Amino acid sequence: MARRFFVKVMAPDRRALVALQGFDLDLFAPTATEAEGRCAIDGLITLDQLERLVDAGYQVLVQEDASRRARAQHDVSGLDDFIESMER
Amino acid sequence: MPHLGYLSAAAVEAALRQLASTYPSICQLLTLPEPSVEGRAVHAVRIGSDSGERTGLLVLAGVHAREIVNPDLVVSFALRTCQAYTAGEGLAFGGKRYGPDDVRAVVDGLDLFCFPLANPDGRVWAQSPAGDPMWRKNRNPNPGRPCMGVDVNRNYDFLWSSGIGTSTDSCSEVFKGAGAFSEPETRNVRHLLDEYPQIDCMVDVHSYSELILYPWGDDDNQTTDPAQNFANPAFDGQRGVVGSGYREYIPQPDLDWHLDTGIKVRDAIAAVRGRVYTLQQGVGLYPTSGTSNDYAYARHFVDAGRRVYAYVFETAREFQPPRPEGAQVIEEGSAGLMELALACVTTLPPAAHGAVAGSP
Repeated sequence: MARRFFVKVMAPDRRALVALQGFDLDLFAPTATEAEGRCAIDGLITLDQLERLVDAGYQVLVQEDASRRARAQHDVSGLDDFIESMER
Repeated sequence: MPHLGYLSAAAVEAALRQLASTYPSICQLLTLPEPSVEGRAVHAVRIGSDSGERTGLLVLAGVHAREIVNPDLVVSFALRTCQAYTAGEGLAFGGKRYGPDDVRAVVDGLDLFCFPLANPDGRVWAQSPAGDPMWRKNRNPNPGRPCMGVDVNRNYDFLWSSGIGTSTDSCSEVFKGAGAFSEPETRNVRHLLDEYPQIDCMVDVHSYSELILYPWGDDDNQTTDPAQNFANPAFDGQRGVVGSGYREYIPQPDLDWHLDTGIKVRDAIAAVRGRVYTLQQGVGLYPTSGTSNDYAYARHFVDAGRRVYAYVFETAREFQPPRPEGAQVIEEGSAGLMELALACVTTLPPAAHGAVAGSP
């Protein structure tokens, strides 16, 4: 699997933000924001996808390697531990 | 000291069974009619003291696999509600407190349907060392297509054919599936709404962004022109298009209920530790279709007599927060659920299943 990064993609306006749908990337719709006419959205993309966005005129801020925010596989509990932690 | 981690899919199942066996007088295990694509049995619980006519709240979570905290949130909320009711105690979520009367009001007045893990296959894959911790979809192999998985929350029958915010490419994270309700996960939710007509409220708990979302998700709302609605083919192609002028109709009383209740939920969450979730319309800046809450709310326009007030909570500030932060998110979400449950039981009489004036 290609290495992925959490990013923030900046778009100059709402139309450009919605146009990001055409790239079919893993962008997180609820994170989309607009301030002073400029829009931004978080996503999880590869370096190749990042290049495509930059080539299309978007600004992309790389936040973190995906593995740094991936806790699903390491932090797993059984029910007994879960209940015990609730009672503490 | 117990290991602080997120529940495995099997542990979520075990929690539901334990709830039903520990509190048999107020908690019933419900087996959903469809196993997952990989053959896992799927369960929910109904919590309520079975004292006559009542309204219902459906709490759904675990739809997107990587949004790891929310099944734990719903399990925790269900456990603590049952414990508090049985002990005659109140509930405290950080700085937000509910008295024993509040707990009794919910359990005696409401059927609380908790469905914490709608997509167990996805969670198993996200938690497997061989899997992908950032997996979002279900695990449908999509025969004849290049990639696995359907975005369960783009598969409901709400403007499914429109393509708004969805993809027909199986490799996309928002692949909408082969047809509306092609997936067992969405059919199980539909089953609950069909089988239990007392359900007047629903919340689908997702991550992330600290949002409370209300209908609609396909386009901006308007309250004055009932003809401009999702079911009117005259407006096909205009919805979800920036600058088209189309607005989705929502009756003013329904909008008011969503806003008033949403503010209560927001304030309850903020009282936990000061984080203020944003209450906003689902569409935000990014139109969508095929989503659970729009489908649930839309049903009464299609089938008069069925109105479900429907929210999405977007918890947390990342998909998989460190577990201590996840514990705080669980407190916040639990306060939000309790507040929503109280609003449902106090403002929606059990007989209020009629369509509102102005429905298309």
